Order: sequence, then C-alpha cells, then structure tokens
Amino acid sequence: MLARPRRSDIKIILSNVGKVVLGIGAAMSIPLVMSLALKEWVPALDLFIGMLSCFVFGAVTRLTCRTDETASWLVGMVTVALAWLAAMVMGAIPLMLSGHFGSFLDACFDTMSGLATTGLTLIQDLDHLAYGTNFWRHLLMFLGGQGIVVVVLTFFVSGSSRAVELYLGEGRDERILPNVVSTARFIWVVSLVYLVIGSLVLWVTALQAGMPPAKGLFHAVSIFMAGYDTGGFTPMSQSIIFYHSLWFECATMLVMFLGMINFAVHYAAWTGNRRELAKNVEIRTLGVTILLTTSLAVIGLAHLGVLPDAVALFRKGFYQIISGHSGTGFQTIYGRQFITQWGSLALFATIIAMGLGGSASSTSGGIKAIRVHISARSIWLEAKRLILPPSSVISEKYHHIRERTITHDLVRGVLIVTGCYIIAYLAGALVITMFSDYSLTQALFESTSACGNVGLSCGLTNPAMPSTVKVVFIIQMWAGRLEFISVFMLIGFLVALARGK
Amino acid sequence: MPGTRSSTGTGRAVAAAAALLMTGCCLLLAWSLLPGPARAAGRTVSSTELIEHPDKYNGRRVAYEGEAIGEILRRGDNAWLTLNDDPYRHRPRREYQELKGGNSGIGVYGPYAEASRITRLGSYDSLGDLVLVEGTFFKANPEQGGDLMIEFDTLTVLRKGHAVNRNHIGAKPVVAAALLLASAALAWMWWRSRKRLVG
Repeated sequence: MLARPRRSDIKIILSNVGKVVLGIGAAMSIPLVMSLALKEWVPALDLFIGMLSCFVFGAVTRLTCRTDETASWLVGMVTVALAWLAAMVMGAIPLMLSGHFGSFLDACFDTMSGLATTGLTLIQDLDHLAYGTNFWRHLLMFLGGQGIVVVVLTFFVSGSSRAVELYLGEGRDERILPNVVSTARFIWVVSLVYLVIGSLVLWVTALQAGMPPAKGLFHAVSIFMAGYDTGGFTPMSQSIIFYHSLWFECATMLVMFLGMINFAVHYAAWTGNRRELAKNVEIRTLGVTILLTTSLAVIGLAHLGVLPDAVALFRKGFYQIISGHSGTGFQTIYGRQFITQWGSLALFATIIAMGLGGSASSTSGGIKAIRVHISARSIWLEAKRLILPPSSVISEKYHHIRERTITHDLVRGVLIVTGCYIIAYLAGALVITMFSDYSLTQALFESTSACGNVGLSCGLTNPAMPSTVKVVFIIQMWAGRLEFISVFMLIGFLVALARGK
Repeated sequence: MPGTRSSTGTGRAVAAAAALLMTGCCLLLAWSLLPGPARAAGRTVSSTELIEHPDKYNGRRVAYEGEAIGEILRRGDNAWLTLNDDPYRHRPRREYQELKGGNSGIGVYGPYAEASRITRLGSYDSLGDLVLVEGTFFKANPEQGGDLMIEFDTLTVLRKGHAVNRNHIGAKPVVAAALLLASAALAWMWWRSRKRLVG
C-alpha cells in the first residue's frame, strides 16, 4: 500500500526549497551591484524585483514551514528536484523583465539551461543585452555547475544530517571529504581558485585577440564561468567565433578540460597525488572516447573536404568534439554548418561525444566516463564468464581514487542510469519530430545536446520553436542534470500524495 | 545636289546619335559592372544565405551589409568585425519594444584603415554603425583557421549609429515598492518569531 507523505515531510521540503530560493536571491545581488556601477538603472530594477521576489518566497516558506525534523532519503531527493524548479521560476524573473524573451516560458528555458549548465538559449537580441543581465545568465551557470543545493550546503547549513540526501540528489555521488558540507566547501574553494586563474588566462588571451581591457575582463570572467561549469553561454551571440583567436580557443579548451574532470581527481591532484591523473579510470576512458570521436569527426570532415588543413581541423573539428564531450557547447562554427557542411559521420561523432559526457561528480552532463567504462567492462566480464569454466572465479577491478571491484549491484545501477539517458535522448528526438518539421538527425542532435546538458545547437533551438518542444527541452535539461533519480522520486512522491493512504 | 547633301547630313546625324546611344549603353553596362557601394547595396547577400549555401558563394565576391557589433578586434594592419544583419540592425530591442528573433551575423576581416571608419559599435546603450563591406567570401578560409567569413577590401558606413537611451520602466517601480513593503513585513515577522522561539 502506498503511504501518503506526512505533513512534516512537506514542511521539510518547502523549508529547504525556500532556502535555495533565498540563495538564488542573494546571488542576484552580484549582477545588481554591477548594473548599478554601470548605471544600467532599468536592468538593476529588474534584478532588484527578482531579488525581492526570492526573499518574499523564501521568507513565506521559512515562516510557514518551520521544522526541526530531519529529512529522509526520499524527502531529500524530492527537495532537490523541486528546488531546481523553484530556482528556475525565480531566477527567470529578471530575465523576463529584461524584455529580451518572448514569454515567461522562454525565460524559464534559459534559466534552466543556465542552472543545468546546458547553454541552449532562446534569448533575443543578445548583442544589445545589458551587462548586468548578461552577467546573471553566466552566474546562473556557475551556481548550477557547483550545484545550487551545494551552494546552500556551503553557506546555510552547519550540520550534515540533512546534507547527504541533498548532495546525492544533485547528481553528485562522491564524498571527497568525510563530511558532505566540507566536500561542498572544498568544491567552492577549488572553483574560486580556478575562477581567478582561469579568468586571468582568458583575459590575457582576450587582450591579445584585440579586446579592450574592461570589456575583455567581463568577457573573460563570463566565459570562464560558462566554460569551467561546462555551460556554454557566451556574452555575444556568435559564441567563441566572435573572438577569431587560436589562443583564446586554446584557453577555453583548457577551461573545458578542467570542468570535465571529477572533483575527487582535482582533490587528489591538489593534495599532491598527481599519479592519480595517470591511473584514474575516468581520465583514461575520456582519453579513449575523445580519441575515437575525434578520429570519426576528422575522417568525416576530411572525406568531404570541409576544412582546408590541420589547423582548421584542430580549431573546428577537435574543438567541437571537446566542447560536445565536456558538455560545454561553445561553438567555433555557426550552428547551421553542422547540417550544411559537416556531413553524417562528423555529425554522428559529435552526437556520440555529447551523449557520453565528461566525468561523474564534475559539472559535465551526459552518461559520464565512469558509466561508459563500467558498462564496457561488464560486457567483457559476461563474455569471460561464457568462455571460462563455470567454476572460475572472475573478478574485475578498476581504479578511481582507490581500487574498486565491479559488482553486480554496481553494474545494475550503472546500466539503469545509462539506459535512462539513452531513452531520454531518443524520446526527446521523437517528440521534436512529432511537433516540428525537423529531420530525425537534427532532432537527435538537439535532444542529446539538451539532455546531456551540452548546449551545441544545429539551429533548431530558437524562440519560434513550438512550446511543447521548449517544455520537453526544459524537462530533459532538468532530469539530465539531476541524473533522473531525484525526478523519479518527485514523481513517486506526487503519486503518493494523490493516491496514498 | 541639295537633296543628296541633305540626306547625307541626316545620315551623319543618325550615325552620330547611334554612336552616342551605343557609347551610352556601353557606359551604362560598364557602370553596372563596376563595384561600388551604391550598386552593391542592391545585391547584398544575407548571413543566412551565406551560411545555408556556402558552396554557392565560396571564393566569390560579395557585398554584405550589417550593424557593427561588440568590438573591432585589431590584428596588426587588419581587423576582425562582427556585422549583424538581423532586424535589430535598424532598431535594437530597447527601441523596438518588440522582439524579432535571435541575432544573426557573420565575421568579416579586412584592413584596419577601413574598419577604423566605424565610430560606434552596437551594445546595450548603442546602435552600431550600419556598414557595407565588399570582398571575397570563404566557406573555410585556410589563412584564418578555417573560418567561414568575408575578407573585405572596402567598407562604407551607410548610416551612423547612435546612443540608445529609451527606457520602458512601466509599472516596475510600483512592483518593486510593493515587494519591498512585503519583504519588510516578512522580515519583521521572521524576527519576531525567532525572538519568541529564543525567549
């Protein structure tokens, strides 16, 4: 029999969702100060309204849902799923007020795209957008990349009793330090250090590309936040093409590489265990999958004679594969070139790269390298079982921070999530083809990009696309970022609320 | 013979008129073939056309018109520009107050001396100069890392840009004031409830 959730469960959920919304409101103060400094009065007013709305929402939930009870695993997961939806709605307020979105749905689309570090966008006339509002888009990626619940864990939670469920619910399955709050704080320290160093590197390359110092700094910080968090928003509509600079492209590639690496591996490298970089199974798997997808893309592009030389193959072919594989979505080609020039093989390689994604416990989306490795090893394991005598004891190990054994439970869990991603990629493509006149290939490209939180677009994502497709993309971005489990929990919770006794 | 002289005179006049007409036609034809901003303006290509049909225009001379956006990225004696040919090149969103879709444009590369004629670039508070460039289109220029772009040799400013000051605030101040009051009331209630709990 389905048990109806208790009133106290709902109070815990709403109280924590309120905390996350308060966090989003507090974050709006950064672009607000920027807007005031630049005398962008109307965008500042938009951000102020957004901030106050978050405060009112947060204060009402905190006042009406005060509770000292601790969250169960289910409640923690439901909290995360709902917190992301609430953050999307509240974060969309300043974007909608900016007047650059056709509807509130479009503004919500961009907010979810930012928080889920996807990078697909429905903004109109981005090139005339205010700096403050533009910065808010990029800050959404930084917050979402770290995990908006991790933000709350870092700044609002002192104990760790409720923290574990919230942390796991956000698609982070690794505790780098014994305490989850300490882990969240470590992730922030790492990210802030990289923010300073990475922004400086990008700033220097932006200056070399011909940007003036002040604007160059704005672009560098914005692009770092979008690149390190494998997001993909850029200050200009032309994405990375705008800069026309090999060095700037190399710097963004470096940032994307950093973003696609597991925070546990960052921790190992930071604490002196640099051998982990060579031994880690995710790094090795990424090496293999990047090599394979790049080779496919290069063969496809070379066969069609699309790009004239090796430098062009590096700047266009390799760059787009890294951008897709890391889940970033920066583009050095125009979106429609994927369709008009790239041909089937290179397009297929890009879709595969986007679908596979980066490392677990990083800001990347997609299936993730560890799952790819375990799936492949489990197939090998089964083949060995068939060949060897039944009495043989077969054990497979892999190295991720420490030696680990591949167990049946591990394989089952990996295959469930991998299957969810593949089904979501295909289902999204089918829905798009049903509600629009795009080809299945284009639909699969865009669907994989949305669900894998990548952000590369072949031109399908635009403000004129049907609302149904926009909603499908929002669900894909949300579910893909949370790795489905929290979303399933929310659905189960809602069913229990409606039909439970 | 007067009649013969007369007919010879008429013949000369007709021949002269025909020669003038022919010369005029040749001049007109030559003028129509000569590249020039005013002529080229009538046969500009759009960025969408170039991106959708790169093979058709690859290596061909084209004229392209758009709003200079963002920055002039100087590279020695040359410079990169981004020219947007979307509807916002005439009036940005802040002036339109209606939306016309996303931005579209293309990167162009050419002499800095030409690019430096641009006095205003498009941004939040500016509508950039509307310029016309003429040059060669490349679907993947080997000298520019495989960029799809136009390498221009002439640039003409068709219309100067201007500052954009129009603000449509609407009811925003009233909404902000109402939210501020609500926030103050909630903060007071929060403070009281905490005090009661502590007490």
